[in-house]
Amino acid sequence: MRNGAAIVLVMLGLVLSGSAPVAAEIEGIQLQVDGLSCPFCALGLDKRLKQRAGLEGIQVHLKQGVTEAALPRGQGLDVGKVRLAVQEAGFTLRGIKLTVIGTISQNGDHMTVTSRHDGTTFLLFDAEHQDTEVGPALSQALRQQLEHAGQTKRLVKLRGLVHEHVGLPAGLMVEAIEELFE
Amino acid sequence: MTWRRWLIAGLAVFMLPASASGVAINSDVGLTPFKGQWIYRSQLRYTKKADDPSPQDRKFDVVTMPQTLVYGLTEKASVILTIPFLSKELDSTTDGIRTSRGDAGLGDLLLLGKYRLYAKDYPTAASRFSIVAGTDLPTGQSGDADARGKLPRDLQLGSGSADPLVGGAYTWQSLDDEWDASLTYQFNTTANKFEFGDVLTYTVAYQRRVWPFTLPERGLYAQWNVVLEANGQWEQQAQDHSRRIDNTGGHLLFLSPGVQVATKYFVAETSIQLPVLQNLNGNQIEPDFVLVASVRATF
Repeated sequence: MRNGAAIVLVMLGLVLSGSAPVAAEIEGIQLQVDGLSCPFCALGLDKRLKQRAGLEGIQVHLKQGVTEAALPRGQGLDVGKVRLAVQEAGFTLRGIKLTVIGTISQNGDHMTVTSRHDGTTFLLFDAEHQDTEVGPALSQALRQQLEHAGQTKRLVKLRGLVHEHVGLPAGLMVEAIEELFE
Repeated sequence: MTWRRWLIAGLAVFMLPASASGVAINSDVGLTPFKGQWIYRSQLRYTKKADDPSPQDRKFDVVTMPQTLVYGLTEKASVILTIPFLSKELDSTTDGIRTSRGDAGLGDLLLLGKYRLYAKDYPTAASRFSIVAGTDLPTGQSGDADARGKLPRDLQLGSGSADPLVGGAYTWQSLDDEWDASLTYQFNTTANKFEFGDVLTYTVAYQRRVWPFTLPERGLYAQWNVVLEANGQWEQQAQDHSRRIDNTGGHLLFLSPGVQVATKYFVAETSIQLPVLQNLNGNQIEPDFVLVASVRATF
């Protein structure tokens, strides 16, 4: 499995390079929560996300089935804890959408974005290329854009959907990218 | 002679809804609290029975105030404790003399465990099935007396026996409406050589959001629902010294419209239960109605 090998190389690269992230933020966290269907049920989500996953600023939007949350400064996002928190509230986490501001690194065959404050690292995938079993994780255009950002050490702002990998950093399916000039 | 039993049987199922995160008023639901959640429910139920076919012209008023505490051990398992406070008054005519007797105090505690066996989540909707099991405990007085001697069984506050109960409930809940169905069976045991008949209760409930008519795009909101429930109970005949008692047992079915407001922190509701089927054995007082008011809060 080509993509699996690529991910192993990424991990190896991360370990060997000890790549120190320059700067990153995670913001605009949106949890897509299934099963949330009454106002009286929302308190559990609020409490568990705070207690279990350390999130704050919880806002439940019942009609959309979406919960917005924020991370305290310096705290990373533990996707597993978020999933567990939603489960303990009695619901199912369908997905997490967020925005990462950080720097890009090339690790083996893969590209990552990493957080300065907490070391949260995401493997980057292309939302247009979700079938990575047979194709590249990133399209040529996105790869070039990320490589450029990586070489210039510029901050980038990535928005996308998070997915989990067992024993690996979470993946970020990039939907939008923006270079920040600062 | 089974008003007290009807009350206890009814109480058992009426206490169950407090375990729910979601809400039917007089029916159990398949929903369970989240891990670490506390729910407190306080109910006031007024039962009026005045339809007496006998010359005694009995009128029976019962006020019950079940106080229920629910705790979510996990998102699947919860424990439920209900402490009922009761007040009963029976007016009847014997030999041309109208008399009134009654009692008030703590009834039988009900301790239940609930476990969610099935859960399927959809965007803004949920499907759940849970089982429940437990027992009531003979904490209510079963030998109280007044100036005329020992009170009849119907006026006693407790059954004198521990009576196990099992059941199950299913819920489909969406932002617009909710369906609930439940079934419970209570195995009544013997105390002082008297055994009340086992009780089967069944309910089907539907509730519909009526306000806000159009949901806001963002945030939470207070939600008003109308509720319609069918609450049935069937009871075996009681036995005294292993002999069946004629004027006991039967089948009752209530239709229960209600209204409810649900917010993030509390639910308030009221309902009236109207008998639509009364097939009671022998000469028993038939219920006229049951009025219900309830508040539940979560923390």
